[in-house]
Amino acid sequence: MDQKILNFFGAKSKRVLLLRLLGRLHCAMPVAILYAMVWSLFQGEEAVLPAFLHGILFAIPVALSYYAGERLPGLWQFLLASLAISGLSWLFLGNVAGLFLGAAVCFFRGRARLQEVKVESAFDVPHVLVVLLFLFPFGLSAALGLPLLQKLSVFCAAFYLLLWLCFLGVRRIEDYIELNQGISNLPAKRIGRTGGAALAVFFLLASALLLPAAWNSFGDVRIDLEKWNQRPQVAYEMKGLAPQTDMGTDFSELLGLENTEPLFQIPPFVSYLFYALCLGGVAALALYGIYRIFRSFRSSFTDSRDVVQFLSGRDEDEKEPASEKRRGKRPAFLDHSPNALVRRRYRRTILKAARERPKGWNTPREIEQEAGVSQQELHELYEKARYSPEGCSQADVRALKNL
Amino acid sequence: MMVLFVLGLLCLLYLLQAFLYDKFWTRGLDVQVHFQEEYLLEGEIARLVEVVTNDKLLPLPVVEIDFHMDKRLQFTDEVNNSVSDRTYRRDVFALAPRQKITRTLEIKCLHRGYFQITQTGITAQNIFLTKKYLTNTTQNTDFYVLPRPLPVWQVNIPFSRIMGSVLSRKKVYDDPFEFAGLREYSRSDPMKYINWKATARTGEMLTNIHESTLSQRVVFLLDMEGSGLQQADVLNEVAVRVVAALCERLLFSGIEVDVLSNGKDVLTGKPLALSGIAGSGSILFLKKALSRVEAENGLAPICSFFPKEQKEGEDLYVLVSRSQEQQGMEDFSRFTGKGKNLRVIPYLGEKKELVSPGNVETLWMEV
Repeated sequence: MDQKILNFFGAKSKRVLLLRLLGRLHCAMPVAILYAMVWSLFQGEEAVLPAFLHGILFAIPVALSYYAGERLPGLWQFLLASLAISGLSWLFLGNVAGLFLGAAVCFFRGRARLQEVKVESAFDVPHVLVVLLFLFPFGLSAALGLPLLQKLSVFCAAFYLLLWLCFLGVRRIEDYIELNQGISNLPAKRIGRTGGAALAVFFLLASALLLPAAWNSFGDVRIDLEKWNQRPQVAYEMKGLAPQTDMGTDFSELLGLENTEPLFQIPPFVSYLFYALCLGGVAALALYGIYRIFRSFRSSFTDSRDVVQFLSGRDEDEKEPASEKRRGKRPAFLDHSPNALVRRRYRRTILKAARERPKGWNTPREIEQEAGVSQQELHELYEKARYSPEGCSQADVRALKNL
Repeated sequence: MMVLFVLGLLCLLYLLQAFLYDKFWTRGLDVQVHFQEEYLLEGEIARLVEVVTNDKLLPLPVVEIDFHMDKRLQFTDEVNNSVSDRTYRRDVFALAPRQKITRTLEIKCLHRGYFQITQTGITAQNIFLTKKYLTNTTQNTDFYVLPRPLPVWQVNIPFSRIMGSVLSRKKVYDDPFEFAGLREYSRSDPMKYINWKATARTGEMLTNIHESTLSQRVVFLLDMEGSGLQQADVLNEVAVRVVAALCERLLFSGIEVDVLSNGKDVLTGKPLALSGIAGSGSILFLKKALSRVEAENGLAPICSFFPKEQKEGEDLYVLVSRSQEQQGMEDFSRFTGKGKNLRVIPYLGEKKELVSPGNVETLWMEV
């Protein structure tokens, strides 16, 4: 079934399909917001949302023009399709401007089709600079006092940024797999899953943080044109810090505090940071839970020629006793045992004296020779801390301080 | 304002993952490449095992392992290789957190040889595939492709010649220190073999019976001159196979062998010189040593590797060389002196008429 859908859309994989979807949205988002901006100039703020939704529908003519360019063999067929697509665009946007926009897209698609070297169309690939287009409606809304348009432009800019990031990430994975598809045993599925999962987590987290922040923007940035005329500067006027919620209940009125200034108000970014941390924590916990479940159900499996095993705690125990393993590692940050103190002091001494970082396989004597350190007592204490079964004592630490 | 703050936060998150990968990408990452078998024969299929372990919580969506290998070993799937003077192999793995992947590759052993993989390159990428990290790891795996055994009919003739010579020497040269028993005196027995004590005790003339000498030894001289030309390569390989097959059968028969060659041992870089090899348990050792000999152009002539000190008549010398030069024959004849020795000449198509001196028996072996 999946394959049938992919074949229908002419996509090699689900990732390609996703890339195309993102490409269509990339085209539709700026058109929609600019279209809404133009309508708001003529019909006021009430026309912003319907115009925006109409503009979003422009993704369909863009997609159709792509498939017309790809699938129709004859130029005359493409021209006929272009006429139909321009008509459809007019229908969707509800204005003759739609016809021209559709015709423009088809013109560029047709031109690209006539070129010998296939170049990726700007209609299909998001670019970060497109975010600048959202500044026009933002600036206009600030000048004319159109909070909904402003809110929408901020939201669209944030959404477009996420879309661009997602497109970049998915495309990197797809490009890598396509570049290396000739390699036998290429674990394309696992690369897609691992990279895709990480990307999805980052995207979801970014969406959960950015989109509510963008939507809850107050839309109250104003450019006072009169002041602009008097003094050549832009004045930003923040009308209030408390977010406007839909709940609508003003508790201050009930408590009789309408005229009292709070002594201290938590800055919004602090509460947002708290929200972000909670969200990140929940996401991390969810991921860890999925990982644990996945690991316990599938301790090992075979994928093509690969035998994939999840390392369990038992494997570690077999490798090395825990105490020995701890000994081999660098002392932990909060470890203040005599062994750790001696080792830290030794390390500091060596790093201070050595020109290069010591090699991991050198013996303490070799490390000292290379660093030019000759402190026999320190050497003995270090060897005791690192290798002797009993380790260092407090007396050794005292002796170390006297060195 | 809040949007900018969140954007900053996201940038920080991205930088944090970049920092984590920069700092910890090698932690718990282990790559082991090893041959599953220690040795195989020419033409057999060996297996190379790649084990990649990621013992940390950071996933590595792409880990590329690359290494060089001698082109005499051919991967059965030739897709990931680029072959020039050596085979360059690249494999891609995707590792989730705390995961170990074992991949087994099949290799066809095209030619005899000794093969090592000493280093692997590792290329990994971070979670968003935006940054590459490179490092190398040391490997210590080796593999022998032993010379292919010759068909029995091809070995039988030189072997029977060698054994004939060995046996005839055995009869002539007794070891006076190895006592085998007593028998009645016959008129042809030398006086020195009469056991006077036993004669006095029994009242009959008795002589000692001696074991034949235990130092019956066959010295193989293997000429590995010439490389690059197809004919030279083929004939040198056959020469190695001949030596390996004959040595194997002689060792089974309890005869000591020496092998001297002008070809260099790839491990030591010196010409191969094996002496005093005895017992069937040494066959593998000998075959491994023969696997390591390399044919080259411009090697010193084999006559310069003839032993300086030889016990005339005790050792049997067998020269295995594709050379059809008369000079070589004369050098060998001069070296061997009085004893009867053997020269095996593998040939392919062309066969020159050589005058064999009386003390050298020449055996032509068509490939």
